[in-house]
Parts: sequence; structure tokens; C-alpha cells
Amino acid sequence: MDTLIERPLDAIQDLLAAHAKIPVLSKATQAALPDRSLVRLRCFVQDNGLSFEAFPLECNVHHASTGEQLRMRMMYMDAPQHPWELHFDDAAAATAGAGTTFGEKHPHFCLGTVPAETPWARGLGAAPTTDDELAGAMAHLAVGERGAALFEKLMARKLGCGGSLPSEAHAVVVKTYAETDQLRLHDVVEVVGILEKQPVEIADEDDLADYSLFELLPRVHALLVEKLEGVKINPLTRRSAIPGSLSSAFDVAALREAAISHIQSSLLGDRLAAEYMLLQLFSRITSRMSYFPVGYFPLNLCRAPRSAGFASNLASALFELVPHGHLLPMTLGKLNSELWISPDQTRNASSADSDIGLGAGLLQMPTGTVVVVDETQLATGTLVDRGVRNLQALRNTIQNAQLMFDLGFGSTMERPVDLRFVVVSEGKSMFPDLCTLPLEADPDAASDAAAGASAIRDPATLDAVRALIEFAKAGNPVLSSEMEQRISAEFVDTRAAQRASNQVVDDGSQLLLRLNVAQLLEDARRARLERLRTSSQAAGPKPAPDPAAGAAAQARSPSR
Amino acid sequence: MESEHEDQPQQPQPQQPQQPQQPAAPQPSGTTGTSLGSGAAATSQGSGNTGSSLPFAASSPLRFSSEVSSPVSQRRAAPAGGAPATPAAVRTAQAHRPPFSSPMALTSDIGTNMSTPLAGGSSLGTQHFTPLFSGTPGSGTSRSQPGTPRGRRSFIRSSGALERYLAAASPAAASLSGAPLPTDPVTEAAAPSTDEPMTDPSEVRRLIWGTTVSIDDSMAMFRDFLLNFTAAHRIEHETGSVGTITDADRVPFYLRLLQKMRDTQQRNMNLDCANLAAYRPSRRLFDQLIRYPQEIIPLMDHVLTNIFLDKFEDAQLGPSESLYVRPYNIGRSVNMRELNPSDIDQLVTVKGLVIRTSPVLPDMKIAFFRCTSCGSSVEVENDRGQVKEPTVCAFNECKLKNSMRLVHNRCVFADKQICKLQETPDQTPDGQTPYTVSMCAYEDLVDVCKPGDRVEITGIFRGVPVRANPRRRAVKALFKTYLDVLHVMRTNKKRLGLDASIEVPMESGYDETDQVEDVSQQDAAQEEILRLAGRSDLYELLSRSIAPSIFGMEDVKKGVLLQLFGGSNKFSSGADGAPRIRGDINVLLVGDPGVSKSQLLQAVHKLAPRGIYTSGKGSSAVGLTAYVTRDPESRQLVLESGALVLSDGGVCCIDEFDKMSDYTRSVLHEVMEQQTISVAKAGIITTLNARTSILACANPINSKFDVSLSVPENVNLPPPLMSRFDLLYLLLDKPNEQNDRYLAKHLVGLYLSDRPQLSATEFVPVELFTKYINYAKREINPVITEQAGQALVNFYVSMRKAGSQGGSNVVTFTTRQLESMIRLSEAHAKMRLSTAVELTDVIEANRLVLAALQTAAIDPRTGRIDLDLVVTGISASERRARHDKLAALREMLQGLDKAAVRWAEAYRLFQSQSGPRVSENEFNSVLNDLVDEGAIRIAGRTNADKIIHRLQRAV
Repeated sequence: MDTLIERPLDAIQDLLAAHAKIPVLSKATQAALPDRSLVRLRCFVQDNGLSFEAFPLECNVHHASTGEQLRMRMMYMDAPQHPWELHFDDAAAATAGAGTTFGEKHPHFCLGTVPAETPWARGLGAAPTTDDELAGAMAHLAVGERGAALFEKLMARKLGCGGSLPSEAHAVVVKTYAETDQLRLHDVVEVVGILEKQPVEIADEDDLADYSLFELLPRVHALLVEKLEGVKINPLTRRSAIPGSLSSAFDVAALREAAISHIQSSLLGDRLAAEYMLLQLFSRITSRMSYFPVGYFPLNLCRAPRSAGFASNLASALFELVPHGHLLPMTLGKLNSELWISPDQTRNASSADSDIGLGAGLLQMPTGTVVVVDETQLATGTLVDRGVRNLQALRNTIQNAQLMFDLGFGSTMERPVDLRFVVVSEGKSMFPDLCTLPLEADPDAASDAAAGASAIRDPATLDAVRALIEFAKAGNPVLSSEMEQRISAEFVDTRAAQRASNQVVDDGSQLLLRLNVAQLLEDARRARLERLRTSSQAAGPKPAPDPAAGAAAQARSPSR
Repeated sequence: MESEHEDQPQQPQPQQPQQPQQPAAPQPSGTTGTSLGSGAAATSQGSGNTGSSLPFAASSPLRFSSEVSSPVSQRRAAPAGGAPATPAAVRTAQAHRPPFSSPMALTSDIGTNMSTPLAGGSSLGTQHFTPLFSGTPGSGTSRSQPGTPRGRRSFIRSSGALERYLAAASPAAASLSGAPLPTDPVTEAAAPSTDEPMTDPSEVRRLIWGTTVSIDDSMAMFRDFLLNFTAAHRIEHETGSVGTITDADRVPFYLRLLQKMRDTQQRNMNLDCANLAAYRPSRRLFDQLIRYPQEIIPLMDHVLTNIFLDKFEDAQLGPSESLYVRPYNIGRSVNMRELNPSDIDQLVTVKGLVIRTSPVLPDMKIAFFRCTSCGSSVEVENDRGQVKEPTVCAFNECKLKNSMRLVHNRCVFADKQICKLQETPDQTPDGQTPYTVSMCAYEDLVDVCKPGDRVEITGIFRGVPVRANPRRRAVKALFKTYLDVLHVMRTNKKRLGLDASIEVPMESGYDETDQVEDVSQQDAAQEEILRLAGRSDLYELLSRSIAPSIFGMEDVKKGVLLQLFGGSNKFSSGADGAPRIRGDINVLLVGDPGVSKSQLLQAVHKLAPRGIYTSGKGSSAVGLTAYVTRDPESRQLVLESGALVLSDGGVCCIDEFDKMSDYTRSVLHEVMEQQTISVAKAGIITTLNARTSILACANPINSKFDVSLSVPENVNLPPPLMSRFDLLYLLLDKPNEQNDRYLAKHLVGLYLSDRPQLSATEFVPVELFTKYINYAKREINPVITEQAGQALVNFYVSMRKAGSQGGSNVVTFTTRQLESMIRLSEAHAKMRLSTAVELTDVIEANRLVLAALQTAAIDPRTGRIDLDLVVTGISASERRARHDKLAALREMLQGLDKAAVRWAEAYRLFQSQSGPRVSENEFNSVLNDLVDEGAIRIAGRTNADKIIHRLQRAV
């Protein structure tokens, strides 16, 4: 205690060190970790619609062989550990009222592998595992061939993947005990808790319907829950304001340059596009005016070459810089049969099947995930009903930054999400209201890119860029009044000019776009000035926080 | 309590056998099936007997329940006394049995058994619609009919301990059930309860265990309530005054209801708990009902039945039938999320959407066992999901162990259904997915709710321990919760924001109210609505809030606002299905690109109760109306609704209206006039309702509005369709630097962190707005006052007169506009939440119509309002001019010396003749008129290769 007061920093360091010693629960380690052991894991809350469970705080238990009785506290467990057994009579006695008080716990269906997590971020969070290890590992508690098959079937339905379950799929049920610990949908949380895994034997065909998916999953009774929000979502920037090892390497102007050329290399050498991409990485929705998301900046890169490689190259370059990213190739096959874009409650629901809760949708992703939508993959063909729904859902999310939940019987629920969309298309994107930016290939830079010269290779620089992006994103946007004036004035002038020349008159969307760009630029500049004061580096030349860039966007995207 | 627990192992006390029963729940009968399977011998025995004993079981279930008392009912009859050897014995025997044969195996997790079948049971189950089997009447304290054991809802009984005390209080009941092991209730009552809070045996008998609720008092209160409650009490309680009470209100209410129940053979009484709370002497009973429903409801059933029998001596009520009380409107409806362990075993009301229902399950009520050795039989009641299998033959001579076999077809079954209720989206907080809760519906309530129904369920919240494995004895330290349904109230009509006047009454025999005028509770939301309605700047505030991000366009927003409220639907008096006069207001916005039309549409779509947004460009007629698809899994044909059907009762927003294909647009004719859609596809022929308001927006024909042309010339829409719009607004982009500046400021304001501009203006939040609209549409049905009617007439006449002035014969106003006016004034009154359409409403409607007319129907050539423009697309002045042109062209063609002339040449000639320039379109249309006259014939398709032939005709 004294140490805690006298040298709090040390104490915290010790705690952190201890934290690091707790074994990580993952698909690979799950089989080896003993029942009722302390574990930690980082997970993603996919479904928190499971209703609460009541439990008696204390209850009598019996020894399985000797019949001995014991009074046991029932916190942090679903069932007493073998050889102790809780008998129905005793549990029933608890409801008789007077003596027993009940606690409640809230189960959450969490994905142990955070969706859309990029490889480097995953690697930082936990020890990387090989596919071989994964193949041998058990992600469930069902024993026997039938049990495993049932689990696979339920899980595939829950996750909305057609036939086979991806090998890394790993889910746990996290149970929280305190009211304040209730997890929100799409949260990424770090949980320290007690693992409970008791195998479930399913021997009989008739039993299959009796089990719900949630019973077949290992449970973690949460002791500590830390929500990973803001900069914490990035494992690099999670613990400290600026990682000590990085501060010396921080020359923001240089970092920005490095990041741009890194992105530029996969954008046919288009530098302006790369700057826009970087701006988008800084963006986040800061507030919502009724349903209008302020700060939302979906980007459309058109005139992209029609090769599958382009979008995936771009995606992998971007994913080097951000902790969460997903590449969505829009092929007819995927839209029609493989994907569920939005989550829904009644997927494949029939009374014969056991309940799986909320079926996962593809766009259930951590906040801030960069989603690269590859529209160049879309060929002519027929969209079936599901394809149309998927496309509508995608459109709705891109346009309104909202994810629609299908609750069955025509009722839907919309929830705000903040995903950063990049739509790669040949012509203008089929999704409306994007910031459209035609790509212009720059042969010189492209040849550099081909040589791979511009990609960041140095891990320290890479980490520094990642941290920079995270901090810039987290900053609070400020629009200076002079900027505001300038933009307003320019807007008025443009409209007058457009009318004079009989062009389509801006209805404000261009203005919004420009505001967005200006704000992001301002952010980028401030990120340099304020955050990095410690590094005593003079800020480099301002990255032009003027509407020139916005004007450029306008010039190059008259068809927005 | 500690000591009690410690005592248990050494000295099994009588209350211990009770305990296993207490928390258990009505189980899906599938559970019973499983258990029967484990006792294999029983099943085989049962099936052997199926044919012969079926009639027996069906005809006299009561005989068994009342005469051959089972060990379970025995124990219940026997209070906590030490005397009952059997319970103790049973208990001990069970303890030593191997787990698989334990009665415990009869319970299992509730939610997972929805589809487990129970062979052979259903036919029996259905024969006993009202099941009756109570060995011991829980309401045994009855003084009026002490000897009548009445049927009871078995699932109600949850607290075995309470039952004991109830039974103990009634020596009559106890002695009735005395069959194999008669016991003395009085001594039993006293013995075990020494460590209980209440030690006085006589006290114990009259109180509900663990509480201070006196059974006698409660029963007397309910009797008093039923006999003496009048509607006047309710009125007085709610309004606090006696002013509005009429003599009719002084008639005892429930006696009338009983009479009605008797006349209609209804066995369930819907008890409006607000009445119970309003009747002062029974206020305490109301609280008791909420807290101890499973004790109080049997009491109520019993009292009700006795009163019923006293009153109607000739009533057809079987000796074991009972009337059931179905309480509802308990004044507090909790969100599913707010339910917590403290609500267990209490009466709660939750709202939600039924998402799935199981098939009807036969729920074993009474298990019939026969000894394989001596043939003596015994019946065991299902106690909340458990059937205690007797281990020893009860017959004194026999006493053989493990000889009892279940006789399947002599058991008694009842209907049961498991449903899932899901939270509605508006109750689901941010960052959460909707909760679901399981419910069990019994007997009459089976199949009352269907998937998709929005319902309000009143029931008892329950918890059952979860079994770790169906075959194992051990359970988890977890309780699954569910609701035992007592009353179902369907709330569809309220929730969907449908206009009440177009609602078709639901066809169902299920009665959900007691037919008392429902005085709706003024909840917080409603107060907020009324407060909003009271504001003087309501109209401006609401119209401003429609799309806060759009600057200006006040009149358009006001028009759209009134559209959201809509007029009243009117029916011709007389039979059902009489034609209905549409009350929906249709609005068309025509304007330049970049005047935020689409944004306005989006905003309305978000606000409207059943708003659908669609773009005319992409949608086919099929997408708008309805289409037939084949379900990929079941291969069944499914009729899916399109946008217009989905927005039935709401607003359908159609963007890019002008870019729709002609065929698609033709569908709208039917929708906008008949408000139905006829479907004839893949063998499905039907007419769907599409009572929707349409908010459409269109671009001018050449993308920019040409001010020198009239509206119909500017918009690529057939005039008949256009005339169906009540309001037609032109949104022109008038160059104005000041406006631009405001717009820029407004948009920039969204980005400023301190937002000075926005904080200055007040907006109604979207949620409240939607609620307000729903409320107004649901509750308000304004009637036109004399004064307003006169104003409408005056206005109509004056407008007609204005048209005919100067003999120019211009149509300024038609009956269609009059109808629009009526609708708009009604909508305005609705918006004010006023039940009468007053002069102010008409004046505002008048103003809006004029404002819309002035922009849309002004003939650009004369500057006067001309509805002919909208209706036929040609203004009166133009018609005259056209007539002249027609004559000139005819003359010109007649004057030509050739019989045929090329189009281009004729055009050039005509051009040179006439003064003002004649457009090619106009020229063509004049030519077409000539073709119609039969004066000429035209060959060729394009203008370039058209040849005009003069027809030989006497001219």
C-alpha cells in the first residue's frame, strides 16, 4: 500500500507487467488453458442481446462422490467445479425467497478474433499463431463428432459465413457482473477474467436441438473490463500518450511525407490522391446533427484500373498504417450468396433451430475500420433478393454512416457506425454522395512504386506513422474563424460564378466537402504542432490548410 | 436461515420435499417426454393401453384428481407438519436413486425444447381445453363453497410453501384430498414452523407464507370489489371530480361483466387493474396482486367462480371448472431490459414484438401411474414442469418398490406454447441489440399472438435453474427467466403509426379488454407532446425542424409538414367497404438541381411513421408495387411488398419522379386515386392497400427551369398525374448573394465546435417529432366547424369568380383544389391537436394552396393563375393562340400547291409566317391536331424524314 502511494508509477508498472503475465486466451491456447484459470483476451462485442441471467449469490453444493455439503459463493462461475455439484433442490430452494439474494450477470457474445484487425495489430495484441496450430485447436466445448458438427453449423449461421467456418473464427461468451460493465455493441474490449470450460457431451441425435450455441462456447467471467476506445484501440498507442521509443524518431513532416509516398506507391503514383487518402485516415465522425454525420469523409477513387490487384494492393498498403481494415471485393457471387452486409435477428429462423441471437453482418466492425470497397470487381449480372438487400445495406451505411439491423417482420433498427470507406471504381461510384477523386497516374512515381522504393520498410518509422495517424484522428476538430470566413466567401463566389457560366450550382454538398477537407488538414497540422511539442522539432511547412486542396478536389470531381 | 439449511441433511423436514417444486416452471411437455423415455418401461406400458383407456381419461379427469390424491397433492395438503410420512419417504427414496431415474430428469432448460415432440399426447391434450385437476384447491379457505375443489391453472402455482399454508387454512379442503394418507392439518401446521418468522399456527394459516398478506382479507377485498365496484369509482379516481358521473356509471360494473360472461360462455375475465387500484377498499389487493401474483390469482379465481355460481345458479359450469382472472393494465410497463432478479415471481407487463412461436405442445398436467404388480393406480400432478414419479406403490397391501408405470393415455394434457418476445427498436438503447424474453402461453392464450405481432404481455416473471446436461442431476448456478403469460394485449395499431380510421378490426375470438372505455394513461411522452402542442410558435417550430440542415423553403416545409399529418379519411356512410375519400396529401416538388430537394425527401423519410424512400430512376413498377419471389429454402412463392405497399399509412418519398418509366408511372395513377395496388402474378391475384401520401420531386425537362415556359412544359409529367398532387411547389434557384451567404453560414455552423448559429435556433428532436405525428394521427380526427366550412365555400367561390372575371374564361380553381383545401385544413388542425377545423386552419390552407398555385400554375405568358395549365398542360391563353396557329397552319397547308410537303419545309414556311418563334415541339403538336382532324397524314419517324400529305377532303 505504501509503495502504491509513494511510487505510484512503479506500482502501475508492476501491475502492467503482471497484466502481461496473464495468459492470453485465443483459439490456439484455449485447449491448453485449464478450467477456472485467469486469462485475458481482446475481443469484439458482436451481440449483446442475450438476456441477463440470475444466479443465487450463495448456494449449497454437494460432493459428487461423498455427498458432503458445502456452502459456496456463486460469483464468477456458472456451475461449481467438479467434484462439487449443485443439486436442483438446492438451486430451487434459493428461489423460495427469504434467505437468498440474487445477482445478475450479462452474457455477451464476443469474437475472440477482432474482425477486420490488420495483421500487425493482431500480432501486437497476442502471440501470432500458425494455421497448423489453429487447425488443431478447439474453439468450442462440444465433445464428440456430432457436437463439433453442431457447433460448426450454428457458428457458421451466427457468423453469416456460408459453408465452412474460417479457421481463425473464435468466439467466447463474456459474462459481466457489474451494471457499469455492460458492453456496448461493436466495442473492442480487453477482458481479464476467469475461464470456465466444461465439455458438453452430445451423444444423442435428439439432443442436438437442445443446445444453443452459447452453451457450446467457453465462458469468461469478467473481473476487469477495459474498453478500447479512441487511441486505445490501436495497440501501439494504447498505454501511453506517445510511445517513448517513438518520440525521438518523430519528425512529423518527414513522417507525413513517408506516409504519403507509402500510399502513393499503390495509387499509380497519384500524389494528390495519396494526400486525400491520408486525410481520410485522420477523419472520424465528431458529432451528428440529427442524422447528418459531421466529419464523415467517404472517399471514391475512380478511374481505377480494372485489375483485381489494384484495390488489394491499396488495401494492404493502407492496412499497414491502421489497426483495422477490411477489403470488400464486390462480386456478384459474394453479394448474392456469401455475405450478409447488415446483421439481422431472424436469419434462417425456423422454429426447429435453436436460437442463435443476432446473426453477424459484415459491417459489424470496430469503430474507425478502413473499408476498401472494390467496385471494379462488379460485373454485369443478376442480383438476387439477398444481393439487393446487401447492396442497399451497404449503400445506406456508406451514405448515412448508419448500420441497419433487420429485426424481422419488417422492423429495422438503425445504429450509427463510424467506418472509413474508400470505394475504388472505374467510373463514378454507384454510391452517391462520396468525395469523388479521379486517379491520375504519374508514370515517374509509379515506376518508383514498382521498384518498391517508396513503401516504408523501417518498422520504427512504420510505428511512428501509425501512432501519428491515431493521434491526429483522436484530436478534436477546430475550424478557425478565418478559415470559416474564407470558405463561406469562396462558396458564395463559386455559386455566383457557376450561375454566370450556367453550370450546375453547388447545393452545399461541395461546401460540406470542402469544410471537411479543410478541417482534416487543420487537424493534421495541429497534430504536428501540439502533440509533438515534446520532440522539440519545429513544425515543418504547413501542409497547406487552405481550401486549395478542396478546390483541387472540386476541379477534379465536377460530377460529384 | 443458516440454521435451517444446516438442519436439512440430518432431518428431512416436511417443507423440504416442497422445495424442489417451488422454483420449477411450467415445462415444455417435451421435457416430460424425455423423462418418459428414460423410464422405458412406463412408456411401453402406456402405449399398450392407448386404445382402451382413452375415453376414460377424457371423460372424468376430475375423479382422479379429487379422489385419488397423489403424493404431491398430499404434501401440499399437508402443511409443514412432521406427520406426513410419505413425503419424507419419497424424499429419502429419491435421494438414493441413481441420477438418471430421478424425477429431476423431468426438468430441463426451457427455451430449447420448442420442438420436442411428445408422441401420443396431443390428441388427449386437446380434449381438455380447460384442464381441471386440483387435488387441493389453493383457494381452500372459501367459506361459501367449502367443498368445491375448483380447477386451477397449474402453472400459477409456484410457491409450494404458500400452498401448504393455504391448504392448512382449510380443513375442508385438506380432508377432501385425504385419500391414501389422511393427515391432520392442524397439527402439521404447527410443528415445523418454529423457526419461521410467524410462529402462531393460527396466524400462519391465515397469512401467505413469508408475508403479512392475510388470505381472508384478500378474498374479502376481491369479493367486495367485484360486487361493488362501479365505473364511477374509476372516473372519480382519475379525474378527482364527480361531475361527469352519470347514473349508468353507478351500476356495479363487474356484475354486468359477469352477466356478459355468462351469456357469451366466456370463462376468462379480463381484469383491468386500474379499476382495482381506483377502488379504494381494494387498493391493498392491487399491491398484493403485483407482488404475489401466484398466491393472489388463485384466490381471485376462486372468489370469482363462487360469485358467479352464487349469482347464476343455472350456470353451466362443470364441477371442476373455474373462471379465470386475466389481469392487465397494471399501470407500469417495464422495458425487457429493466427486468431483473427482483422481479422474479412478480406480476410484470412487457411490450415487444413476437418473433417466433412454437407449435402447440401438449403439456402433461396429470400423470397417471399404475402399479405393475397390483394394478392400483395413482395420479401425480405436474408441478411446474416436474412430475414426481412415485417410487413405491401406494396401495397398502402392495408397497412394492419401483413398480409404478406411467399410463400414457390416461394422463391429462393441456395446450401450451412457447413464444419469444423481442424488444422493439425504439426501446433498444444505443449500443445494444434487442433483448428477447421467452414466454409460455397456456390454454386459451395459445395461438393468440402470432409472429410479427406487437404485444403487451402481462404475466408472472419466472426463473428456473438451468440444467447442465439433460441427463444429469446437477444444475448450473444460473436461472433462465421467462414469462408465464396471463394476458395478451395486441398493440399493432398504435405502434405502426397507422391511421386509426383505415384500420380493419382484427378477426379473432380473443377478447383482450373488459370493454371499459380505455382511458389512456398520460405518460411522460404524452405530456411532452401536449406541452409542445401548446406552444404558440408550434407551426413554425415544427416546419423548421423538418430538415434543419436545409435553409429556407418555409412554405415547402410547411406543406410537407401538413402532408405528414394528413387529412382525415372519410367513408361514405353505410356498409363496410364503402368507397373511401382519400385524406392523404400528395406533394410534388419541381426544381432546379442543387436546391436540396433530395435532402428534404430524405428528411421526411426519416420523420414519417412509415416512410419509404425510393428513386424513380432505379425503381421499376415491380419494385414499387409488389413482386413474387421464390423462397430459396422452402421453394414457396412469396409475395413481397414494394415501396408503395410498405408505406401504407405513411409517406412514400419518390426522388427523380420524372425519370420513371411511363409504365411505372401508370401504376401511380391507381395508387393516387384508388389507393390500392392490384397484383396478378404467378397465380397470385390480389389487391393490396397502398394508402400512402406521395412526396415526389422532379427535375425540369432541360435540367434548368425555363421561366418562359409553363410548369407542365417544364416537367416531363403527364398532366393527369400531376393534377393528383395537392400541392405543387417550384423550387427555383434565384441568384441571391445574401441567401448564399446564409446558406454557407448555416453549413459551416455544423462544423463549428461551439455552434453559435444552431444553438440560437430551436429544433424539435426527430424522436419527439415522430411521436408527435403519430399521436396526432392516432388521436385526433378533426371535424370541420360551420365557420370553417363557410370560409372554404367562400374561398372556393371567390377563386372561381376570379377566374371568370373579364370573360377570359380561365380556370383558376377546381373541385380538386377544394378537396385539397379541406385536407390541408384538417391536417393543420391535426397539427394543432385540435378536434375542430377552425377558421385559422382554413386561412393557412388557403395561403398554402395559393402559395403553391402561384408558383406552379401561373401562366408565364399572362401572369395569371390558370389551372388548365396543370390539368391539361395548356393554358387558356395558349389555347387561344394555339387555335390561331392551327387555323394558320391548316390554311397554309391548304394553300400549298403540292399534296405532300417535307416536314422541314413546312416548318420553315410556318416559321416565316408567324410572328413569335414556334418551337419544333409546338409545331409537331399542332400538326398532330391536324392529323386528328383528318386534314393531313404524316409519314416518317423523325422530323427529318417526315412527309406531310394533305388528305383529299372537301374543305
